[in-house]
Amino acid sequence: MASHKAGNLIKKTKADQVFDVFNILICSLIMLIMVYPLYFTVIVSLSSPEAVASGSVYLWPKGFTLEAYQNVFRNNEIWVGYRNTILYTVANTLYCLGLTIPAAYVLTKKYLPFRGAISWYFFITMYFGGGLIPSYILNKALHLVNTPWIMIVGVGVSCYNLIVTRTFFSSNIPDELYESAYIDGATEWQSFIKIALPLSGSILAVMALFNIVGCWNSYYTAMIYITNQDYWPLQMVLRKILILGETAALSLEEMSKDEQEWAIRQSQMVYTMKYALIFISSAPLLVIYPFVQKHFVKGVMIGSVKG
Amino acid sequence: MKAKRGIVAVLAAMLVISAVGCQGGGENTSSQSSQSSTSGDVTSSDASQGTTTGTDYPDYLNLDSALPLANETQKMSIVVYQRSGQGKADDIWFWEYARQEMNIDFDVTQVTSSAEYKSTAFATDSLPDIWFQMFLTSVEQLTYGEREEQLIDLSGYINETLTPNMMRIYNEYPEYLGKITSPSGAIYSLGGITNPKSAAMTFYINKQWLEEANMELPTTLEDFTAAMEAFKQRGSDIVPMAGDAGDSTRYLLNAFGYVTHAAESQTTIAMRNGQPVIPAGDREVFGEYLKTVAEYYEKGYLSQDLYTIDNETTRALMQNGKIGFGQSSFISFAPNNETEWSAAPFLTSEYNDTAKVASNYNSVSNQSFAISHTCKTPELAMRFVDWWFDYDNYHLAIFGPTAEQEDLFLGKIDSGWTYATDDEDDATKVYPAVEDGSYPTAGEYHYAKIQGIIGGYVGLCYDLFEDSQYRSSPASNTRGEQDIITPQITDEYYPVIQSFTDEQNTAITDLSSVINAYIKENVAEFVTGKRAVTDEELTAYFDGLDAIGFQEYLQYYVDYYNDVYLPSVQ
Repeated sequence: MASHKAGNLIKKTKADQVFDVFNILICSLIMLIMVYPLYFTVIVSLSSPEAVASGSVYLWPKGFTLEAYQNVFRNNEIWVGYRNTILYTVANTLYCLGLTIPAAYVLTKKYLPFRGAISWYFFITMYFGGGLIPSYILNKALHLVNTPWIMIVGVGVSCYNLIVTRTFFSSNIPDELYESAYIDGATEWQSFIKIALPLSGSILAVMALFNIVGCWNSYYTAMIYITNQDYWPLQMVLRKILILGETAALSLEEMSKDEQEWAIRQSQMVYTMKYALIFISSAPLLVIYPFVQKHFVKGVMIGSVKG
Repeated sequence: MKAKRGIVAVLAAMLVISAVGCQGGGENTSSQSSQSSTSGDVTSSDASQGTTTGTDYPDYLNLDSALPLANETQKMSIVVYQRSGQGKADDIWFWEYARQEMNIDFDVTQVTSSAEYKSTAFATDSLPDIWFQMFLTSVEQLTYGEREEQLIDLSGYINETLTPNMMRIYNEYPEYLGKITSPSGAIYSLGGITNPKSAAMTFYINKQWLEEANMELPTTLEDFTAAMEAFKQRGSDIVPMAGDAGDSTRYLLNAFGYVTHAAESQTTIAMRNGQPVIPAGDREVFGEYLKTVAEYYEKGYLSQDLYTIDNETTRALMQNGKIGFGQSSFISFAPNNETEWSAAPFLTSEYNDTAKVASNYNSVSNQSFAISHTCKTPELAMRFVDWWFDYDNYHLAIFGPTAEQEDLFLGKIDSGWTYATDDEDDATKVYPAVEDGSYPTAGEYHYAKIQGIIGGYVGLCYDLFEDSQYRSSPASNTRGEQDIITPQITDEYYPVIQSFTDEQNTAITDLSSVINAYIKENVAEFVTGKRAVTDEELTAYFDGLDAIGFQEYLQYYVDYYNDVYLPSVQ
């Protein structure tokens, strides 16, 4: 056992050193497993189609070329998709936060009338849902189908996020703080704005990040409800280019010569663009994440504390 | 506490009632659709009566000339399946052509996921007037046409007045009409008629490797086996036959006399000696086929990852020149694929005297045009689809106007095509938009600007009557397809369009799920050597197949072929 005398250097025993070596090795291996796919995506996107098709790209780019990125950026639909995704992400995040945070705050107040019933009203939605068809009928009746609004106001409150946020409020902000504010004449609204919100930086960051990641990657809602390409988010554009392009060359014998030429070129171009598209669509999140990481790590554990 | 429980109970009851209300809304929707479909039925029956009298057509229809289709502009909604590379409807020349020349102002909805769109549209009865290239399967046609009455029966609208182009074809080839008619006599969807003289599947062989081995193109199974052995001698990393268990093995199955085309060819109904047969249950010959495939696997002619290899790996092998034989979808990845590869003739064998391959099974299709019961102008919709059944019209829609047809540019395109040469046998087209580099290929230009829809799925897709003003696009013969494959094409294949009843479909689905799983597992064991391909083992295999209902399963297809299909085409 290592000595734990306060003030002295702790000398590591041989067992500790061996443990450290294995620990570092295993952690390095896990890191490689997680980092390599991302690295592979980058090097493949910078390699020639022939090298990629032959499966010879492993550790560094082969036949360096920026053709994949040029093909991607030449496609105007990509930029429209980017614009739409940013718009939907920002608007939906503000919308969701604007509903979730106040709802969670209110549910922490024990004197709220019908608090239990209201809580159950939210919880039931975690277990039961109408399904796709009733949702479609509802959204169509609300004239949301094939409009940008379906991507923004579709789902306002996630019950899971609501519970996590409620737990944060009840665990981290003591009731005495509110009571002292009430004694000084603060209203409920003032205590929410001036006490609860300023102390909720981490939960706001976490909830915002959850929403941002969800919105950025979502495509199913757009696939079901939006047929106007001007409203497509980025993932739908990528899906159109990747999935639909891959099927282009499957039935060559049924095509005319012009179509064959197009189909072959399409399938080969898709092969090259696939990794460039993955990188381009993931880049913004990769850039943002380091800045919110500390909040994310802290916030992930919030929901585990019982209030 | 009791009060709180009571409140919770009330709220829960309210939620349940609202959920029931949702379903009640759905039921109301279907009953509304039933009422609407009754209206649709009235319309179609009126049209049928109109068919009889020839005078009860709406006034807006122009029946005096080919164009316009309507005397004044009519609005219709249409949903179209959109593939990658296809432009937005607002940019597409064809929809402007429809607006100005046909007097139909289409509200075009382009979808990239036809399955999800169909599900939500039919379930909510939010239907477009026209379904265009949305690939409505036979089951969907029966479900939404015959049972739910959300698609109208088109048979009453097919006549000399409304659809003269179609009638011209069906009068000459009545079997085409028979192929798209359901057992009840209804037609819920139309499709395209393509040149039957193209093969349902095409394979290619490395002729340079054959030349280096002093071999000719193999025409028998024995010659082919020798060729694969010669290819394998080139290196231990060579995989002579490309693809997985559903790819190159189809070629071998064909050599035993099975006329099939499906990817799951062993479990899909086929024809042999003029009789319907499911290859994997055929006691007569399938065992010999298994012995051949097992031998190929053991000798390395097939990939040792036959049941797990993916397309990307096969493409990589092709790219690296490690493959000597494969189907058309891989050929584009082979280096020098136009000079070193040849179409591979189909084979004869001890069990098959005549080398043959099924003709293009999509030569008569019916998945690409349907009319919803909510359409208020079904006669106009039929006139629209009939326009496609004239080859010159089809050609115009797919390839766009010529350079001389400037009046048809309509402000959507700047130029038209011309023929590359004056040779009457050369139909190659030159597009200024491609020549100036605006578009890399003619195909991309077509999809982006001209029609935005897939060619070959609606209308008369080739010069059936040989009276077109246009030269026909040459069928591919780059690797000898026309010389080698075309003479081997046969029409003797099991009909792809099958209209079973709901009960039959249910029974077939239930049986097939068990039977196909049994077949795949046991065939894999035979091929990979886990199970010996002996007479005893084969007998046990076939007995096991019969025990799980194989004969009943096969009988559905035999009965359909003899009792429904043959009478409809005779």
